[in-house]
Amino acid sequence: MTSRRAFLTGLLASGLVPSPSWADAGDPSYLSAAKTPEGAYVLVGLDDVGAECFRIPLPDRGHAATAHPHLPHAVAFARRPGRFAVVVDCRNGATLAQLNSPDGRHFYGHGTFDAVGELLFTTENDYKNGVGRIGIWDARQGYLRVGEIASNGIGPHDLRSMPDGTLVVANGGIDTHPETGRQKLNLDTMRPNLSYLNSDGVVLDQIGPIQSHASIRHLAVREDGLVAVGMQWQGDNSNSPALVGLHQRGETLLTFGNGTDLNGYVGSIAFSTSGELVAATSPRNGQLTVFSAKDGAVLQSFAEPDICGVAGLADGFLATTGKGKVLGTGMSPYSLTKSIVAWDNHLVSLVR
Amino acid sequence: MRLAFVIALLPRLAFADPRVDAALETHVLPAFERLSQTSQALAEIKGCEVTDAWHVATEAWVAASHLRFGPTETDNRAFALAFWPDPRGGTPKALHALLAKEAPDLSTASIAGRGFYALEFLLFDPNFAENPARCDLMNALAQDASVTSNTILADWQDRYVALMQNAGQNSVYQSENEAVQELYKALLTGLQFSSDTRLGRPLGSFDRPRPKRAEMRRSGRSLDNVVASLTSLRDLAAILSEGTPNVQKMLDVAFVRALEQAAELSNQPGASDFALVSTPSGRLKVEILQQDIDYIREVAVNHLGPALGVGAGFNALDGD
Repeated sequence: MTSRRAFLTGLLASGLVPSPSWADAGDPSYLSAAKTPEGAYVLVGLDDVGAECFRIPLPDRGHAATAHPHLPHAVAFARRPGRFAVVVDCRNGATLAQLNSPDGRHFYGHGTFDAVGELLFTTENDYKNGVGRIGIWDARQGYLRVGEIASNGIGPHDLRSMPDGTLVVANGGIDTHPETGRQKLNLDTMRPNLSYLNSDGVVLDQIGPIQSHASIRHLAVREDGLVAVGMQWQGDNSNSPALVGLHQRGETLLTFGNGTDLNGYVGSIAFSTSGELVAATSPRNGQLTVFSAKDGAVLQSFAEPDICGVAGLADGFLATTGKGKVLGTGMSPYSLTKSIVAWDNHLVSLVR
Repeated sequence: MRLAFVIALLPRLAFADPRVDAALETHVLPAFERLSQTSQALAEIKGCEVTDAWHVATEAWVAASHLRFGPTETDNRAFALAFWPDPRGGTPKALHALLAKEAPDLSTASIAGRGFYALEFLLFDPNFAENPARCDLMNALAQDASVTSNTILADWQDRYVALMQNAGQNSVYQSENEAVQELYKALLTGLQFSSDTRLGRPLGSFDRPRPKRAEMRRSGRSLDNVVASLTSLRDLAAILSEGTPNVQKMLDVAFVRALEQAAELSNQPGASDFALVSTPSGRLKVEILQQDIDYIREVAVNHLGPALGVGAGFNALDGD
């Protein structure tokens, strides 16, 4: 049965009526969750010099967000182990849909649309069985849940759409259960992996890190399908392997980025829009490092307390900190804005 | 002028943070020494009469259980001593698997079937009481826990004490402040674990209390563990706040309040295993203890953290 709203959404999506676009939302270039000084949680749209375009309240702490490819819809995901995701109309802050994880599932904090904006995919924990799932929601039907597939690992955190329409999933490998919060239940046996899936859940390729305690957590995808991965080391920093990786499907994982220097922890990863650079942030030692996407050579590194969110600019990156700063990187870092909000983990680039 | 020059030439070791030195000498090393000694005493008993020694060693573990960094995290040592909470019931499953084998190799066994929590099942759970292999397995698990505890202590003595004392000159602690921050984090983690997990799990919700989720309820150690942890954390808090008497006083007052509430609670029927969370009045008393612990944490975050210069980053602490 087609509801009126779903019908209208479908019309909008099909372009039969003049559809609203991101320009109607004040033309934000980036999205980020944040915490206000009063302790409220919000989703914020930022333009490409870090100025606020809009601010929309969230029911609890967010983590990442994802933007619809052409409609001015953003989906903000609850911080793990949250059970909500909110689809907001970024023109006016209206809630278009609230996604609740089904019984026995919670969200991990990331999601992605397919290239045409019809389906939304979310990473989820089937916590009774301790296995990862990918939830599938239909944007044309008011974000109705229409199915799910196996993530083919434990603890799927980030996932992205590939240029060929497939999915790439970072299965972090760490088992948790909402009864015990974020407590890691399987550090002795964890086996993270990077999985390439089609939307039917068929595994097209799967690789593991060189060491099983390097949890593959965050992803960025270049136009040609090169995948950048950010890892988090579960052990002593002094033993940490390299925590940044580049992977082309069918090939081996190239790793770089000294794990000890990154304090064993990469918070976010991004490609520059030119695709020539990869940036990794480590909030634990307050550092952003820029690498060459060709060979992993370190091109730039600077310190900034609690830096975490990062997204591509043409010739560099925009980055955010838990202390309210928005910074640009170029030849040298420059401060753009300073807000009173604490920017949360991820700065999300709008696909346009 | 000359003095400044001389000081500049002294080895950096001489300037190790006095709070770190004091914590290592009077808190960390004694806690792991005691764990090692009591685990060994438990391992030396052959046969089935290990209950008393198990209580003593378990208490020593709880008193050290907030120090979850470095030596306890290498090779999953802490997990091999203490696999809890266990939301999927991995411990009884792993124990049944071990009991079914002739001479099980513990070093390759599921970590859920090892350590003090697994021993508690064998000692107190009626499902295991009749198993003929029970005492042999208890002796083997005690031996295994003793080896793990000794390894943790040796790692502290041979490696980790020096790393913390020489913070700022090694890759684990990249600045001097990071060692203090590590101990501060351990204090907060310990308080949070007692509030959220030791108390929060059995409290469940008002409509649905979950007394069977209490830590070590079979042996009736649930409340004892909270007290053992608070007592140990009180020592650490006093050491870290040395040099800021106001903060030290506030913290100690807060600890005393929580410990008094725990003592009052212990007089109630059903307190030792938190069975009393199922009654409204019992639940209230446990909630008050939880609030008292949260208050200690608040004092630490609002006063001790700033005094130590170790603010907690919004993203740095997120862990995702």
